[in-house]
Order: sequence, then C-alpha cells, then structure tokens
Amino acid sequence: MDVTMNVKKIYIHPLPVRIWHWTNAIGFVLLILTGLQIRYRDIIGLVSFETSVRLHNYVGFVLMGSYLIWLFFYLTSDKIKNYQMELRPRKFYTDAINQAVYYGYGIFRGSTNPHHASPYDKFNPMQKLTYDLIMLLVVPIQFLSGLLLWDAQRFSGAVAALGGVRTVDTVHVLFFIFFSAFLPVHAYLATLGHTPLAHFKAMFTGYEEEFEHAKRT
Amino acid sequence: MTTMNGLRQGGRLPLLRGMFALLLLAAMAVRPGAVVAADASGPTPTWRACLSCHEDAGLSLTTAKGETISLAVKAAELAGSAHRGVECRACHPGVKLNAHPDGRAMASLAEYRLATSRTCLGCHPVELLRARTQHAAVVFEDQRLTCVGCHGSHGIKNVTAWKGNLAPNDYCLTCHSRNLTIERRDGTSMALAVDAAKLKASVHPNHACADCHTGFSASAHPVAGDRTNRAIAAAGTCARCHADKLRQADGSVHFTLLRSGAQGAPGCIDCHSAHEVAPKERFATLAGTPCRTCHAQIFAAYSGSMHGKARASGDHFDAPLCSDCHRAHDVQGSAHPEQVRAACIGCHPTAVAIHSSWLPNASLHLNAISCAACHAPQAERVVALRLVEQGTGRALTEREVGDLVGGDVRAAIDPAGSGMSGLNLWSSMRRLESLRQSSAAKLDVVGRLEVARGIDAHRLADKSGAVRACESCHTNGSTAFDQVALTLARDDGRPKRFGASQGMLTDAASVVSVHGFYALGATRHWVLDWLLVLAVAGGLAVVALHLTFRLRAARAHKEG
Repeated sequence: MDVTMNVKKIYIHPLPVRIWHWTNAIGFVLLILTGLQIRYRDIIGLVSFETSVRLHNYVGFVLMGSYLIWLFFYLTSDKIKNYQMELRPRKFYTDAINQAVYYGYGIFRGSTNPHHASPYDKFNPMQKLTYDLIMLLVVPIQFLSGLLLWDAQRFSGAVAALGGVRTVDTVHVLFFIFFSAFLPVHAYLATLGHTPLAHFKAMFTGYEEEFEHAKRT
Repeated sequence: MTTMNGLRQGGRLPLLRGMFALLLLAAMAVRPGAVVAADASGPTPTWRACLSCHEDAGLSLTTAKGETISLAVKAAELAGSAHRGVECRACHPGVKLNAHPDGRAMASLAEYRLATSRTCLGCHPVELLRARTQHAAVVFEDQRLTCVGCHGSHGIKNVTAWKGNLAPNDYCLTCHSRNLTIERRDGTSMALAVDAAKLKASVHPNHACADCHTGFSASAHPVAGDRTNRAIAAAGTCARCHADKLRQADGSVHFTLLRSGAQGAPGCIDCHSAHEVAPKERFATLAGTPCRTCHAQIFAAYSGSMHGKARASGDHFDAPLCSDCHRAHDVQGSAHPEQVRAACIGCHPTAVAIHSSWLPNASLHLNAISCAACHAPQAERVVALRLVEQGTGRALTEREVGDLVGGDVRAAIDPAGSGMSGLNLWSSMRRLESLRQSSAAKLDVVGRLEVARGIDAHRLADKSGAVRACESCHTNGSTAFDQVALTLARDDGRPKRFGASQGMLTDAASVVSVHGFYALGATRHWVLDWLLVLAVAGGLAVVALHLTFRLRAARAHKEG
C-alpha cells in the first residue's frame, strides 16, 4: 500500500487581510526603524530627527487607517470567528499546551502540527490568544499613545489625564520594545510551515497548503 | 583799587571812609547791647558804618576755589528787610574793622553760605524752624540747605511781604525754583527743585501746583515719608485723572514691589517724572524709554538685538520697545512666561503657522519652549519647573511657597543641599498640597525650556541665527537640559531659580514629578534602553535556539 500526500489549497487569507497584513508589516518595520532613530539620535544617524519624526507620523497614520480597514472587515464578516477565543478553558488549555509542545518538541521530532488551518479557524490557540491581545489591546494602545504624542498640545487634556507626556511616551516606548522583540520572532514563526516560505507565500496568494494523506493500493 | 588778602576794595576814598567807620564803631563800643537792636520796627543806623565800605558794588571776595563772592550790600535792601533793626555784627560776629575775615581762608562759596546761614540759627533755632511746616522737612543741623539760599542775605523779608501777592504757582516757585533737596526718612535724597520752564513745556502746563500737591498750601507743608510711601502717594495723585492707568499698573511687578516696601521700586513719577511729564509719543522712542534708567544692562542687550537694531535704524518704527513686550503700565517680568509669549505672538501672529510648517508638534514646542530659548542662540538654557495649580494653571510664587513652608524655600525643597531630586520635588509638592487649604487645587509641575539669564532673552538674533536643528535638543546629552531648576516668580517679576541635581529629568521619580516635561531622545530613561536590548536579544535568542534545534532535527531526519 502506497501512501501519497495530496496538497489541498485552502483560501485562508482574503485580499483585504493580505493588504492589511503587508501594509502592517512594512509599516511596523518603518515605525521601529524611525522610532529607533528618534530615540537614539546620538547612536544612529541614518536620517535627521526631523525626517524620522515626519516619517514616523505619516506611517503611524497609514497604519491607523489600515487597522480601521482590518477592524471594519472583521466586524462585517463572518471571518471574525478566526479571532473568537475558545471559551471552554479545559479545551483551550489542552489545545494551547499541545501547540506549545509541538513548537517546543514535536516539531523537532517530525510530528504533525496539531492545528489545521481553515478559513474560519486559521489561528492555533496560541496565535489566537496572541493576536487577540495584540489587535484588541496592544495595537490600539500604541496607536492611541502615538496619536497623543503626535500633537500633545491638541490632546493636552487627555495627555494630562493619562499622567503627562513622559508617562504616555513611556507606554509608547514599552510597546515599541514589545514590537521590536516580537517582529523577528513573528517572522521566524512564519517559517514553521511545511516549507520555510509556505506561510509567506500564503500571505501573498491567500492560499495555505494543507497536506492530505491518501491511501492507494 | 587794591587787593589785600583776597579782599578787593573799590571806591576812591577808602581812607576817609575807614576813619568814619572807626568813629561809628567806637560809638557802638560805648553802647553795650546795641549789637542787636531791641527795636526791630525801624532801621538802626549803626550798620551804616559797615555800609560805608560795603555799599561799594565792586567790593568782592575771592575764595580758595577761585569763586568771587560779592560783598556789596545795598542800603535800600537793608532798609526794607525784616532785619533792618539788626546790627551787622549780629550776623557777622567777630567782624571788626581791623579784623575782617581773610578771603583766602574761605574755602568755597558753599562754605561761605553755610557759615553765614549757621548764624541765622542763633536767633532762629532749629527746633522753632521745624515747628513751621514749610521748614520741617528741609531744615537740618548741618544746614545743607542754607538759609541764605532761599531768603537771601540782606534783603530778607517776611513771607507776606516777600510773596504774599504772588500767583499760587509763583508762590511755590519762590522756593522750589531753587536747587532744594531734602532727605527722606529712609536716608535717600529727593530733589525739590522745579524747573518752571520745563513744567510749562510738559503735558501739564496749566496745572496749579496744588492740583497734584493737594496737601500743600501756604500754611501746610506735609512732611515727606519714605520713598515708597511717596511713590504710592504720588500714584494716587496721578490716578485722580489717570485712574485707568493706575488700574493697569496695580498688578504690575513695579507696584507689587512698591506695596512690599521695596525702596527701589518705581511709581508713576519715576518713569514719567513729576514735573516734566512728556507726551506719550516721547515714550515710543528709543531715547525716551524710561526703563533704561533702572535696567541699563538689559537695555544695552536689547540695543544689540535684532529688535533694537531695527528700531535704531529708523526704518522699523514697529520694532518693539520695552513696553511692547513687557507692557507700559501692567509691567510684567519674565517669571510670567505666558505674557512674554503672548507679546511675541502679538507681533508675530503667523509664528505658530510658520513653525507648524516645519516643526512637528509646533504648538507643544511653542508652549514648552520660550521663544528666546531658540532665538537667542548663544544663551544658556534652563529647564524651568513651575508649581502650578491643576485646572487654573496658575503658578505659585516664591512668596506663596515661602509663606507655606515658613520662609526658607530652598531648605524645604532641597533639605540635603545637594540639588533637588525628582523625589524631593515630588515630596515637596505633596507637602505644599497638605499645607494649603484642603479645598485648594492640587498642584502639578510644568516644565519649560528657557534662557537661564533674563538678560539673554533680550539678545534676540535674526531668525536665520535661531536654533532650528531638532538634534540640538533631541539628543541624549544635549546641553539644553544641563540645567534644571524649580522656578518661582519673585515679587519683582523675575524668576527665582532653585537648582536641581543633574539627572533630575531622567531619574525614576521624574516619571511622577516632572511628567509634564519630556524631550524625546534627550531625557530618556536608561532602564528602558536596557529593556529594549534585553527584549530584542531575548527574542533573537529564542529564534536562534529554536532554529538550531530545527536544523539539527532536519539533519538527523536526513541521516536517519
């Protein structure tokens, strides 16, 4: 009996999501680079402070717009199920632990990924928790703090209520640190498909490749 | 005509006249008590012995300083004087025909007048003179104001005969046209002289003296108080016609100082003068700016600035003078930054728009940085931290804080004396809040980058010389943030700075104490820098580790 592998293409990433993702990817890289330049002008001298601030602001607004498109898309689409958390704790923890074991151990042993992506369930439990936190908490906070810093005078009331420019900037920097550390990890995790570039490719084409085991006599 | 011992004698028959005088003096000698005639109602002819020489209009004396003093006495003057019954020797004691004063022994005209005036006090004691209001403030034992300076030497008349029929202003000017000064209670000197011509040329040409000097009359001369009281009183006088100006001035730093008792503080007349009040157009000129009198150094700095040069060039009559920024009556110092900023924006209304065209967060910059901090590029800068009331934004003054802490502000905010830290500031703020009434607004700290010395704020350069590079501030280690100081407004409107320790803007407590002042990149906290390094390194380490295991697993799978 031969066992063959059938490749099944599943349309996981709709066009708006792909546009949003790559806009986000480029934007976040630019924000991190310009953020580094703004904060460490004494160490890094790629562009002037003025240029880096201007670029940082433009990119920030583009990403805010991009985020709103993402939000609108998911709020008006049944694909929002992708972000709906597993509300049964036992199942959530079991699935999350299985996924962590796979990434931390099974993947080295050739085990199969316990999560199989589908249009309405494209994230594994760890991804779902991470992206829910990022998209619904971290990113909005970062955009909001960035907006306040963009024109601290215009938003002086809010800035003061939140503890002043220094406090708002500290929050902004803390999440900047998070994104700076997260981005390379995220890019690496994207190489954990059936080939190192499979997930990258999917994020361009929209189609993830799933392997089906077929028996042939 | 001969000259002996500095005494110049005129006339043709000096010998005969001398013999005549000798006879008269001999006659007097046998009449004891005739030196001062008891009867002052009529002329006593005994002084005619002296007049035999001193009627000579050419008789004069030369002092050691070379001044010429006329020794001539007119008989008619004596005859009409209030002292016509007084013998010459009563006022010139010790003068004998053969013992006349040596002219060269008289040092100066002033000494001569002083010496003669002291004689007056023999019959007119100081105590009695002081009882008369006209003299009360001008009579001193040392006779700096000489009797003869006002009353003359020989033609002395009583007041009614002297000036009883004069017009009111002329009545006053009989004394005040002279170079009179008095000593105030505080020891300073005040000129009493009025130049009638300049008074006539002033904006008050038709005012009667009593219009302003309401307490004064022929019979009433109030004793002057100290300088401050007088300045306040004078302001009250001006306000009778110029109430609006006094209302403006009432909140000024000058009047705040006056009320606090500062002796150097100016009132209305210190800028406008008392009797030579010029039209306001005069004050709109460089030469007519009264501020330069007290603020000469600052005026010199201003004169070298682009504003001063523009004004002096004659081509820019709209270039600001002192009062255009600091106001003419509601004079404010630099401790009130919002007013100085308003003055800049007042003349440069497009400044916000122009800055917004290139400066990110322009409004914030214009609020958090004084115009001079960038436009006086050579100036040292300081981060001025002010304690303000939440809501109103009103900054606490040095006096307020001093009253709350019991006087010594520095000891209260920097007990160790090593420079205020972020923690010191935070705890001081909490303490002040507790010392204020519980209903009072909470306090906050607002930071602002300013020039460290007020004089530098007047050295404004052309905008091409202004600081434009963001990096001059937004770089770690920028000198712009080397100096940090708690800044409280003094009564005189200038800022009083209490220096903070270096690192105040970046220490941990600064997040709560100076959260209102933050310069991206420049005042960053090192903990966050290391957190960034650790986070990124940690993430990459996890990636590297995982990748290593993956590659080893792949190799093992291939080999196995």
